[in-house]
Amino acid sequence: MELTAADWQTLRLTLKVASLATLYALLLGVSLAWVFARFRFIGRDVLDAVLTLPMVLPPTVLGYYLLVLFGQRGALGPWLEENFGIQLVFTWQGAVVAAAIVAFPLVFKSARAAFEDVEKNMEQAARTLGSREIGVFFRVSLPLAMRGIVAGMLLAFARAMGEFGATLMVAGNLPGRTQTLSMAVYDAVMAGDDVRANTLVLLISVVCVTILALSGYFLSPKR
Amino acid sequence: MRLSVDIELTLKTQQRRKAREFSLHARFESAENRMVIFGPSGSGKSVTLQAIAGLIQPTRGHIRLGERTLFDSAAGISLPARTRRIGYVFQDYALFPHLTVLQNAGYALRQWPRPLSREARERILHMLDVFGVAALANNLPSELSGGQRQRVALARALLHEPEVILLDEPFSAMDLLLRDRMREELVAIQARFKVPIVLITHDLKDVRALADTLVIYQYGAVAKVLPCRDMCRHEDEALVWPRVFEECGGVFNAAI
Repeated sequence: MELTAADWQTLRLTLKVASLATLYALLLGVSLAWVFARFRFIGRDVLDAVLTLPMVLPPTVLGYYLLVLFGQRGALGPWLEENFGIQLVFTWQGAVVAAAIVAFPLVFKSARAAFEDVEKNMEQAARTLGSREIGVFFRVSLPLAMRGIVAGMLLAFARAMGEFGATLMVAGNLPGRTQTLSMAVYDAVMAGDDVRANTLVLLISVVCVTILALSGYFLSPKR
Repeated sequence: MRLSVDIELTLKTQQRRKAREFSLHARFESAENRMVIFGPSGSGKSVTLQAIAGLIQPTRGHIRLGERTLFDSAAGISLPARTRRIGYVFQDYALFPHLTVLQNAGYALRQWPRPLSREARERILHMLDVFGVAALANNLPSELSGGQRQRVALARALLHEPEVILLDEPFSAMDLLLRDRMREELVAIQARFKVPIVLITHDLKDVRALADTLVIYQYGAVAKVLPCRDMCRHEDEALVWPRVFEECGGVFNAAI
């Protein structure tokens, strides 16, 4: 059982896609979570449902939506290409977008619960001590919600690592360019290459178990 | 320091899926430095303190502190909590659990995002020393006893150099022995720093020790304002306090 140069490259690409996807999911998820935990507005519940949708929709459906939006003849595709030179279909950037959207609800949900758990008194105390709202957020709310956010982030990373359906629809399965580990496993099995399949399955399992163990640590009650 | 409050507000709360309404109309004024608000639970004492601190906004009325207008619905004035310079000691102290005693006490002194300056650090340590908790500077709030937590909360409020400190039932979570001691400490601290305080309680011992002016609440309104210190100046203390306590007891009897 040995990892070839191509396998390492696949692992590198998988980690790159998953890390970037997690980063975007984190930035978007945490800011939206804060808005939802903090403000009441019309359409809040509907918007919450829409934002949670990527967690329950079949990934292929999600991928189809993305194609409709970002494809060559999609609603946003030509505009993105013209103005930013970004092409999402059949590129690793497309894989990042697909994985980010699939992973987003995991960050959003846990960050929102974490922000809602922060005692109002803490934030009020900070205000009476002269803190601006930005100070209240970075010095009190965010640190107190950190455990939940980190736990959500690790779950999102694990989810992005294993993402298959939506990524396949958007980015395709091009070895060396958009092929991630989960797709390489599919290819190996289809080609009857059991040794390679075993190696890749073991590799992806080790990475995911590590992440889940870490998230378990962060989710456990405070010491 | 003259504190003048005349506010009306209505709070809507959800209790077991039933919408409840609580309305408060509070009106009192005092120039004394030690004020006690006394009354049964749910009579609007905490809400009044929160309104003074700027944590909730009344619908109508005004709040004036010294020369400053903190809130005036007619003039459209409502200062945000952070500019009111009002210390607030929460019932559960609301110490930041992720910060050490030193960082908690120095919260107001830190020019975030810069770290605490050396001078600020010294000032904080000096203040912690006054409260006898300097040895705990690097501990977390979860490692402190109830009395120590309250000392840190008071030190934190004082370091912001407030014009008044509001205390919401500060001794209610303590056993009787500690309660007596912390009350004495508070009296001493108030005298030492000359900082005006407003304290909420339903303990008559707090009334006796700290009520230069006593405001008695009942059913979301002020039932009576007693200038206890003035009364003691004009007649025998031994006669004044029993009468004051009788007034206090009255609101509880009426509630039953």
